[in-house]
Formats: sequence, structure tokens, C-alpha cells
Amino acid sequence: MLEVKNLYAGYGNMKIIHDISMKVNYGETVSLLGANGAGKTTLVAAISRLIKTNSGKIIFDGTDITDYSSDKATELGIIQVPEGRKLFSKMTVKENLEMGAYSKRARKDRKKNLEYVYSLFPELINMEKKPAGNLSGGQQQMVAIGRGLMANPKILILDEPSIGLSPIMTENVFEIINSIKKTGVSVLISEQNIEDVLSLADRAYVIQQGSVVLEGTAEEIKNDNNVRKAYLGM
Amino acid sequence: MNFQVFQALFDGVLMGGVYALAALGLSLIFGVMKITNFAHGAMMTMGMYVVYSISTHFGVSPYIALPVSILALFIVGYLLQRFLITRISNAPAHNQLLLTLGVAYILENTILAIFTPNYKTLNVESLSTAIRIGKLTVNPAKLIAFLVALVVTALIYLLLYRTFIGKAIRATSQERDGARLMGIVVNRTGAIAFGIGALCTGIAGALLTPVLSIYPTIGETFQLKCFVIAVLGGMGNLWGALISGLIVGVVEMLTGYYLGGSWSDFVVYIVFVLVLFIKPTGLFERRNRRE
Repeated sequence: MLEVKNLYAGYGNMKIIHDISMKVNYGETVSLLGANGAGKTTLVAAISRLIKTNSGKIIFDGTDITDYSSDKATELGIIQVPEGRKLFSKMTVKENLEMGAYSKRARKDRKKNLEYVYSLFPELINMEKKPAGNLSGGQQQMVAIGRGLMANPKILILDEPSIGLSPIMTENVFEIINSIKKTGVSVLISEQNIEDVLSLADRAYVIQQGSVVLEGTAEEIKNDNNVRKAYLGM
Repeated sequence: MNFQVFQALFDGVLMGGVYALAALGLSLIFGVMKITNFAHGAMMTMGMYVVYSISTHFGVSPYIALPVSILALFIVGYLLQRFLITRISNAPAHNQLLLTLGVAYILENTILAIFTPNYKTLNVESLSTAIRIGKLTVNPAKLIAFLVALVVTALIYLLLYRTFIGKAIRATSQERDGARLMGIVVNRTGAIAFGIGALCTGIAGALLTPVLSIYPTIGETFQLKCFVIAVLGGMGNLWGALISGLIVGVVEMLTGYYLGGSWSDFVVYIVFVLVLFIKPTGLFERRNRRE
């Protein structure tokens, strides 16, 4: 469904990722592993069409989207829950969720998706009128994931969803991601929290200094002690 | 309270409402684009001359010309953002300043070339004859200006807080990348916001035309005034702009009453500097909001 071929990208003159190839199949959950600064965020920014690519291709559902703008990518169902959440902090929780349904594709399912989001995160119902910026980190992450789900994702990209969260909150977030996965949505999740993410993912790519250094099933990577020592610093 | 003071207070509120509308436009543009529009005053001048031309040429009331001014300024603002400012959105701040300042000079000098530097006055008798409400003397043009400004301000708030496109504008101003990830076309949203901000000047300029004598550089005083008001209210804070506009209007008129009209700008800037000295973030911004 999503295929990245020999991709080079970065910010301005800063080349960050080199020759990355990877893919996510329908209904699959794929994890991007790697330390801070490895290039995971740059890769997902390129997939979401937030940054220009230098060379290589990004193909989604058979369409070459390498030169697409971010709104066109969203319209196809490529939805990202970004690192640091990037919520509209002075807007209410409800307005943030509404903005998730901005694309034409999602607008018609707004009501249905809002019910779905509230069923996943019942505690957001009581906060719907609060500015998103006033919520705790964990609650904000719920809003961010909820906003992503409002967009009717075909593939949901989660960039470091557990960053800055307490262990309990992290566990909650992974449980939610697991239930999203079960609805058949493809998931691409970048994480440093390797244990949790590997128990959830089908396959994983290990990224180091902007390149894929290893790929395999979650099982293989989990059980390979050399891999863990060499690339993941564990 | 001395009745004269009350009269000055009243006049101040009337003018303040119009200032607030113009400054609201500046603040909105800054909030969404992070650009200070130094062509704001010149756009207001353009609105004035549009209304003046139509009104004198066709012999109609300036309020009939108002919609033309609104439309003209919306288009100018939209195109300015879409084709010029987009190109410098990542440029250093001084380049952005020069671009909008350049646009201001182009507008001003075009007006100068067409209309000469002479003062023009729109004489509408029904509008300049003061009416009395109790002991209060009311200039009908100023009263209409205030009321229209108030209604338009309310409409802009409704647009921003109740409609989908308005919410998208606010979303873009608060978190640009977040907005892009939700499929919001930030260039288009930005151009609409710029158009709305510019349209505020079209309305404010039109409303002031029957009240003032106009000349090609009249916008410069309003440019500074709008800037002061927007900064007092906290750049990008729309409610702040509204309140600050009223404050500046009242300070001006009260100064005029106590010290004479020529002191009013002086006192406004003293107040401005004092506020920034005590509260650098403007009157209404909370400092260090939690992320």
C-alpha cells in the first residue's frame, strides 16, 4: 500500500535520509526504530509530504505521490499524528477533533468518527470545551490520536507517540494503537520504546544515520541480541 | 462627572470602534502569517479613495460604495498574500518588512498620481449635521461608523469561531504543520485570512471617509495607530485588539479634551510605551502559557 523507494530527503541543504526503501502492506503495522536523530521524523515528514524530497519515490495505493502537497496526501488517507502532537493549543478539544475531519474524504464521516473517537477516549467527552493546551501530556496525546482518526486514515502514521508520557500512559496509548490496528487500518509507528512497539508491530525497520540498516519481522528483531546491542543501544 | 468629559468619552468610544476594526485586521494577518502588514494604512487609504471616487462620481451615499471597497480590499489582500508574500514567508523579518512597506509606497504613490496631494472632503450634509441625544452631541457619520464597525467585528468573530473555514484559519495561526497534516491548504487559508484582514481596512477607511479630509499619505498615521493597538492587545490576539482599540480611542479624545487635540498622539504613545514597559507581552497575553 505504501512504498518508499530509494528516498533521499532533508531540510534545505541538510540531507538527513539516504537511500531509504521500505514498505507497509495493507492492514500491516510496521515500526521504525532508531535513536534520536536517526531520521525517523524526516522520513515520515516526507511521506506526509511536509518536506520536499531530493530523489527517490513515494508510492501510495499505486499512485506516485512524491510531488504531492500535504493536503493531497491527506486526501488520499495518509494521516500523521506528529511528534510533539502539534495540537491547536488555544482551540478546544472538540475543535481540534473537528479539524481532523477537514479533508473532503473525512468530512462526511465526521459524526461517526467523533463517536468512535469518544468511545476510544471517553475522558475526552468531559473536556470537549477545554483548550487543548490546558490538558496533560497524556490527554493531549489522546486528542492528537483522536484528531488523526477523525481524518479517516487508510494509513495512520504515529511519530513517537509515547514521548514524554508516563509508563502507565504509554501502556494506554499502545493499547489504543492495538485496537486501531484491529480495525484494519495500516499503521506506521516510529518509536524509541522498543519493547512495547515490537510486541505490537508485524515488521520493523531499524534506521541509523538516515539509512535502513536492518529490516525483519518484529519477532526476528526482538530476539536478535546483536541487533539490539549494535543498533538500539540496549 | 463633568458632562464634557462624558462627551469626550463617548466620542472616544465611537472612534475607538473603528480603530479596533482596522487593528483587528492587522492582528489577524499577523496571527496567521506571522507578518506585520506595513501596507495596512495604505490599504485603508485605498478604501477611502474608492469610497470617495464612487460617491462623488455617481453622487451616491458613501455607504453604497462600502461593498465595493470591501470587495476591492479583500481581493488586494488575497492576491498580495497569494502571489507576493508566499514567496518571502521563509525570508528574514527585515525582507518581509520591506515587501509590505514597498506595497504601501506603491499604493500611496498610485493614489498620489491619480488624485493629487490635495485634501479631499466628502460633503454629505445629512451626515455632518450633528444630532442631539439628550445633552449628548452626536455626529451621525461617526455613530454609523461605530455601529458598522461593531457589527463587522462581530461577524468576523462569528466567522473565525463558528465556521469551518474560520476554524481552519485559527488552526493555521496556532500550529502551521499541524494544520498541514490535517489537509488544510495553508497558503489558501493564509490568503483568505489576509483578504479578511485587508477588508477590515476597506471598511474602516470607508467609514472614516465622511468624517475626515483625506489625502494620499493619511494611512501612515493609521498604520502606526493600528500597530500600537495590535501590540497593546497582544499581536494575534483578536479580543485584545478590540479592547485596545477602544482604549486608544478614549485616550485620544480625553487627551484632546484636557490638553488639546495636538497632544493626543503624544499621550497615546506614552501610554503605549508605559504598557510595554510594565507588560512587554501586551495587555492581555498571559506569559509562559503551558505548552
